[in-house]
Formats: sequence, structure tokens, C-alpha cells
Amino acid sequence: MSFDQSEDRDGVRFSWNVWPTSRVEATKNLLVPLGCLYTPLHQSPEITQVPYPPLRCKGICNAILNPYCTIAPPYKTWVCPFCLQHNQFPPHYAGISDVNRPAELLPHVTTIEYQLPTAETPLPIYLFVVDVCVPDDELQSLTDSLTMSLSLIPENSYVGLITFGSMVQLYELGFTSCPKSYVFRGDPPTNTFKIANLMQKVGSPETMNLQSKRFLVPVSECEFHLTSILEEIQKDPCRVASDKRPLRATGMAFSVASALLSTVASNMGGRIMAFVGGPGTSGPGLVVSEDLREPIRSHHEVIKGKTKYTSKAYQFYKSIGERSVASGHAIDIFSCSLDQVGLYEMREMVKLTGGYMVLADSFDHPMFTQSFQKIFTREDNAFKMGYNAEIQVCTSMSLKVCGAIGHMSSKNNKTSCVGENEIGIGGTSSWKVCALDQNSTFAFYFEIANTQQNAPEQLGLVQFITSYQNSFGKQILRVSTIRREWVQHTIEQQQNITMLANGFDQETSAVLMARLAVFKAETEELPDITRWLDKMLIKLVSKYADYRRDDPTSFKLVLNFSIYPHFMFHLRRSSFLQVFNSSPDESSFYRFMLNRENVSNSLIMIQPTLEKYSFNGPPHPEVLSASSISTDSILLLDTFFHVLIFHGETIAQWRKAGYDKDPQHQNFRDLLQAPKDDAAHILKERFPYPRYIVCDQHSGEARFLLAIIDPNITHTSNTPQDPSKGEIVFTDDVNLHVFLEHLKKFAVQS
Amino acid sequence: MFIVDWFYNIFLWLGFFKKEAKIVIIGLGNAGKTTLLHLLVTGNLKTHTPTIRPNADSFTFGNVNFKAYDLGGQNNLRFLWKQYIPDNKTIIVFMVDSTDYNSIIESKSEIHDILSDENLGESPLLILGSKTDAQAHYNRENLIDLLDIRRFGLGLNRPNGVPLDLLMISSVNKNGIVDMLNWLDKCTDIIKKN
Repeated sequence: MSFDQSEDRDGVRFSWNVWPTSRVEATKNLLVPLGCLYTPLHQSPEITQVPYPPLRCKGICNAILNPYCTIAPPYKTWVCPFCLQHNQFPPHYAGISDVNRPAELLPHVTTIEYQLPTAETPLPIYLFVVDVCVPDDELQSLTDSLTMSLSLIPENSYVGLITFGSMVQLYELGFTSCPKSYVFRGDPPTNTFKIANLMQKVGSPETMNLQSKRFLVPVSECEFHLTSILEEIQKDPCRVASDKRPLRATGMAFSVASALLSTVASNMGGRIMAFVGGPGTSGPGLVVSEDLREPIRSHHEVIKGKTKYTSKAYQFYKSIGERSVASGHAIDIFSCSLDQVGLYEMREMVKLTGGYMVLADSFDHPMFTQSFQKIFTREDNAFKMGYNAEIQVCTSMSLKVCGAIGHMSSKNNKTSCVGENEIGIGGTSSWKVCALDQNSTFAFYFEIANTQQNAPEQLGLVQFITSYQNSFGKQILRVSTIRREWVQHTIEQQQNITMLANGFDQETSAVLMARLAVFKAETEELPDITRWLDKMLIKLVSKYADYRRDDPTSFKLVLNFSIYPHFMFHLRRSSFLQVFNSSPDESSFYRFMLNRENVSNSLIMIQPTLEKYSFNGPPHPEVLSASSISTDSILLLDTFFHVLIFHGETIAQWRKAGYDKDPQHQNFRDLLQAPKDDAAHILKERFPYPRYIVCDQHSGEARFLLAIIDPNITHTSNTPQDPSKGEIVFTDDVNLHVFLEHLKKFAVQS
Repeated sequence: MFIVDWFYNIFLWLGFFKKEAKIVIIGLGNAGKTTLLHLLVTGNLKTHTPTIRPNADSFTFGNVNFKAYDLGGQNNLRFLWKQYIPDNKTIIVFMVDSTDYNSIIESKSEIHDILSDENLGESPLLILGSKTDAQAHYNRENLIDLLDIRRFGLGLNRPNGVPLDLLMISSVNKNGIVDMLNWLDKCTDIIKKN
């Protein structure tokens, strides 16, 4: 089975698809970690759904019956391939034969969904947390978006509303005679806000449950009332002097929101959707003072450890994130401002819970309005979402899980599947994910535990068991059982290497390395991470390339390794690992998205795609380099975060001269339209909605392209012969060619 | 940094004469603000994507440690400029692309707004004509006329005590960078005295 087939069917891709047989071999030869990217809600027509609960192995592994289990006549028992335990089939499984098998034993049903016959939980809860310290027009746009969402949320879903400015207001939506709210101080005397404080304030503990419908009310019952409250929301009344920032009690708002949900709806799917238009300046979790003379922290200060509020705020928000994880609720942040709002400090709340993070210019910008709408309308309203989920990993005895990188929290469940080494969020084989959708992708890292030289007798297997609440309140268990081959061990070392090499998936490997690099960036300095990437790359290619010692010209990479160095080149230059000209908020957002998406989307982020449109043939992908620019063509750049249409100089001149308006130039009109259509397609699919730019060669916005392409033509290199081909980039950066030459030199060194 | 001033650096290391200064680099989009800051901080030239959210870094010249804020130049970002210039102790560096007539004219009105603003007008202002490496660019005298600032009188020591000047630089061939740094150094002293 090819890598792609396995991804289509199971939503999983491994870096190495043939596994070394022993720990020693693995340490020596796996110079990219053994790991995979798994998308638990991957949608595929092949996924079988059954309306009954699964059979679990009664051994220590607790794995679920799957096609790789051994069953033999008279079909009374099954042998678990993970722990070799013999299990009895229950009576209702009688009647199994060679031709009559339940779905979960069919060879192609490697991924299956069980709908559990448990009591239904209420539909997901949406608690809006709204910043009212934003300009009037933006506030209007925000409340319009919220009102619109009420018509898209399933009518039985519960909603709630909190607003915050200098104070925090919790609305009692169940009280419909007039708008009623409880007001909390933005800067309470004690910096800890506990559930007890909430109870004390709102009273009647017996009403703090979903049934009483006080603060959280089904949309169908409060839509009219909530709409009128949203219409009436006013900007924070607190007067702001010209040299001051507005007082914004962001920390308190999150405290109240998370305390409310954990009291009223613990372990029921739900999300806190926070709309933040500026930095928190008051109470716990403030990220900058009220005084404009004090600018918000930059990367420079973060690196030097000279920030005043950052670590305290970070800890504060992290603790709120942890509380939400414990009660199973996701936290989303929609950061909409042209300056920073403190996403850097608040990021753990979103990362730990698996929420959404959106970074936009303002609340009336399409990057916000379109992204927000997409959450509710993706995939024809089918709401392919999971709430309050848990992912458990089972491995064959020769394989152990080292950890995971993605938006999840450890369940601290140290089973026998857990390896010695820790990578990412480790020391556990199950993780909590408060919310996930069909894009949520998690990286899992493994190690080979076998100490023998010979291939293990057991199959190489990993089972992912994901339990979640779907959008209709049903409990679902999705099980994917993935098998990979062991290297057929031979005495000949080179043959083993070839077998490993054939199973190498360079795209997945690049993404796994990128996630690891970004994970390291939380604690290590960026130059060290770049050096580590370089070292790993050199080791990898010197093991798997063909070359004669000390002869760089003989260096050759086989096809499935050939573009891996290109990925590494672009990764080093990317905004994941370069922070100059990015604020800490922006870096947090970029890194967040890398840790969320599947292989193909992550690759677009690492090495953006370029499509060329010209009169000389149909549109085609172009190499991401300065020489791909030409005056007589249009380029479409997709960096995942930006979608840019770039008109070459001649094209721009023709357009300015109005040739596209001339009826005789239909083909020019078509040429201008083609990239727009393709861009529209990307914009429709992409979440969050990217920044969309249409620009001309030599304009300021063209730098979105010039800054990321491989600068193979610069002001110091020889300018191209034909001035219509290629573009000069003003940079001292090394280009891909130089990078590869150095790589060859180091790789062949004896 | 590419200007190694070891003698001063030793003093700096010993903690003598250490001065702090804050500069805010503003100007229209694509004037070369981020490129200049990157050059001052790392010594290397690099092409950047347009700046959206303000970012900051610091660099040392002589015995002054400059903390520099780089603000985006697009029209919708300019409201932020005021927020980053809270007092007259901040040196405003306004960059103008000396190759682009339209942006010079647009810069003119922004610069005059700053000069006539009751708060911003109190801050030292250094206008930088950038990209002098390009073959077609306006020189210093042209720029002074196009921006209509000759009548204010240029120099570090103006009668009202607020430095105002226009210098030409290129981040590509590094012409004018040292003069600019010297200007900023002297300006720091003037601010201290005031």
C-alpha cells in the first residue's frame, strides 16, 4: 500500500514505512524520528460505522478487536496482536466463519467508528467572551458576526455571553424580561478567581447546572433575547486618556468563563470563544500596563528575559487552560488587532485544549469574519467536530510511544506502551483533546524497543483509539489499526539501509521535524535549533545518498529523499524559526497552525507553492525561486497564511492600459481571471481565512513573495541576461544552490 | 554589528558612559524600515515581508544602546505611530523611499502632520531618504524641496532645541549609515541635556 492510500483510508502517514528490527539499528539509521501524523476525524467514504460498542482485549494493552487479530476455527476466541492475550468472543459474536465476519474483522476495515450506546450528552456549548474596548464600528461588526452565528448554530446548542472591558459582565440569558447581568471587578484584590467566587456572586448553587438554563440557554430559547442584548452592547464606558490604553480585564474574563463552564457543564462538550481586540491591561493576566509609554514586549525582550509581565501572565493563562482541560472545554481566541493582544501569553489555553486561534487585522476584516463563519458552515453544515475527546495509543511490544506534538494535554497514563525517551508531550499513552475537527492532526513519535537482532515475530502495529462526543451529542469511538513491515533482516548492512530507504516518506518526515523544531523553540534558542536541523540533515543524507567519499560531485539522492533538503532549506528561513519582523503574537500564531494541520497543509506552510499563468501554455507549478518571476506572467503564491496574485511588469502595464476591457482581448481577460479563480478556491477551503493580496511586480506588497522565494538572483550575483526573466532580490541570505553545495560537501566528508 | 568600535565597546562592557535611547522608525510602506533595522541589528541585508504588527529590536553604536521600534507603513497602520511616540524623549526616524515620487509626496503630508502636532512636534525628527543605491533617485536637496522642509531650518542645534534633519542612506551599499548613527548619537546627548 502506498503512503497516500494509507492516508486516504486511515488519515495517517509515517516518516518510515519499513521499521528497523532493533533499537540499535533504529538509533543508527533513523536520522529522522520514527513517527506519524494522524488525523482522527479524517473524512473518507471508506470509513465503516457500526452502531455497537467494541470488544476490548482483557489483557494489559486494552486494545480493540481489529483485522490483525488472529482468529481460527472454531472462532470462539481471538488473539490480541498487541499483548498476545487470548480473549473469548461474547455469545452475540457466535456464527463467525471464514466468510461471515463482523465489520471490525474485515481486512480492509482498518479504521472503524463505533457509536456507543451511552446516554446522549447535550449538544455543544458556545460561550462568547466579547471585548468591548474596541472602536464602535468594529464592535458593531463583531456583534453582527455573533448574531449571524446564532442562525448557524444548531438550535438545541447552548449559548452564553460574557463581555469584558474594565469590568467583566456575565449575562443571565435565562432572564428574559430585561437584560440582566452580573458584574465582576476587572482587578480583584486577590489575583485568584475560583469557582467559589463565582458561586458567591451569582448565588443559588442549586441552579448552577444546564437544566436551570440561567447563563447557558439553548439557542432556540434565547435567540431573540440574545440578539437584542448584542444589539445593545456598548463600548466600555471607562474614559481613556490619550496617553493610556483602555483598561481591559482579559484575564478575569477568561477566569469567569472557565469557572462558569466547569461548574455548569463539566465533561460536556463546549467551547469558550473569546474575541480579543487589544492587550489585557488590568487585573490578573495583564500583558502590558495601561500607560502607552510602556510598549508591549517584543521578541528581543522575551529572548533577553527582560519582560515585566510575560511569565506571570503565561502561568496565569496556562492554569486556566489546565482547568478547562480538566472539565473538557476548548478555548478559542480570535485576536483581531493591528497591534499585539498578548496571544503569546495566552497561547497555552488554546494549545492545551485544542481550540481555534485566529489572528486578523480587525473584527471587520475578512480574515476574522470569514474564518468565524467557516467554523459553523464547513462541509455543508454537517459539523464534523469532536468534543471532549481522548486519544489512546496502543503499540506492539517491540514499539513504544515517546510522545506527541499537537494541541492536546497529557492524561499522565503511563502504560507499558510508553517508551524510555520522551519526545513532545510524553510519559503517557493517552491524551486529552477538548475539541477537534477534520483538520486537527497530531504528531506521534515512536521508538523501537526490541533489543534482539532478529525481526520481532509480532506484527508492527499501532492502534489509535479516539473517543469523542460528536456535534449531535453522540459518543463515538474511532479506532484505526495501522500495520507496517519490519526490515527483513540480512547480514548485509547496505541491504537493510536500502529497505529502510524505500519506506522513507520525505514529506511526512519534513513535517515531523518541523513540529519538533517548533516544540524545541518553546525552550531553546533559535540558532541552536537551526544547527540541530542542519546536523540531522547532514547525517541523514550522508547515510542514504549515493556518493564516493570526499567527492561532492558524485553525490546523488534517490527520488524519495531528493526534495527533503529543499524542505529543510525553506523551514530554516520560515517564520517558524525566524522571528525578525514578527511580533511574539504572530510567531505564536504561525507555530500554532503548523502544529494543527495535516501533511499537505503543513508542507505549504514550510515550502509555499507557486503556480505560473502565461500565454505560453497552461498554468503549471513553478519552483519557489527568484528566477521563476517573469514580466509576462502571473504568479499565484500560497503560503497557507497568505494567498497572493503577482502580476509581472508587462501584465501590469497591459492591465493598466485597459487591454482587459477591450473585447478583442478575451484571452488576456481569461489570463487575468484564471489565478483569481484558483485563489478563490483556496480561500473557500482554507481555515483560518488567509490574507489575500493582489499586487504588481516592483510594488511594496510584492515583498510577500520576494521575502520567501529562494534568492537565486541577488544584487551581488550576475544579473540575468534577459531582464524580463527573473527578479533581483536584495539580500545577503544564502540561496538553495549554495545550501545544497555545502550539504554535499559535509555529507561526503569522511 | 558591522561597525566594530572595540574601544567604546570595552567601556560599554565596563559599564561606563552607557546611554539608552529609544527610536521609532516610521514611514510609508516599502520605504525600507525593516531592512534598515535588520541591517543595524545583524549587519546583514535581507528582504522582508511587509510589516503588519510593530516589532522591536536593539543595537549598540558607540556607547549608546538604541532600542528601536519598527512600525508598519501601510495606510491603516499609521494610527499606531502616535501610540509608540509617547514623549519627546523618543527620536522619530521617518524613512522616505527616495526613488518613488508618489510616496515622497504622500510622506510630505505625514511629515508636516508630525511637525505641526503639539506632542509629536516636540520630538527629534530624522528624515532618511533611502535606496540611494538605485540609479534613479532624488538627492538630498531634491528631497528637502519636495518635502518642503527647508523653511524649518535643518540641523541638530536648532533654535527651538528640537533636532530636525534629512540624511541619505542605502541599506544595500551601506552609504550614509555611519553618518546616520553619528547623528543619532549626538541627538541622544541633546535629549539628555534638555
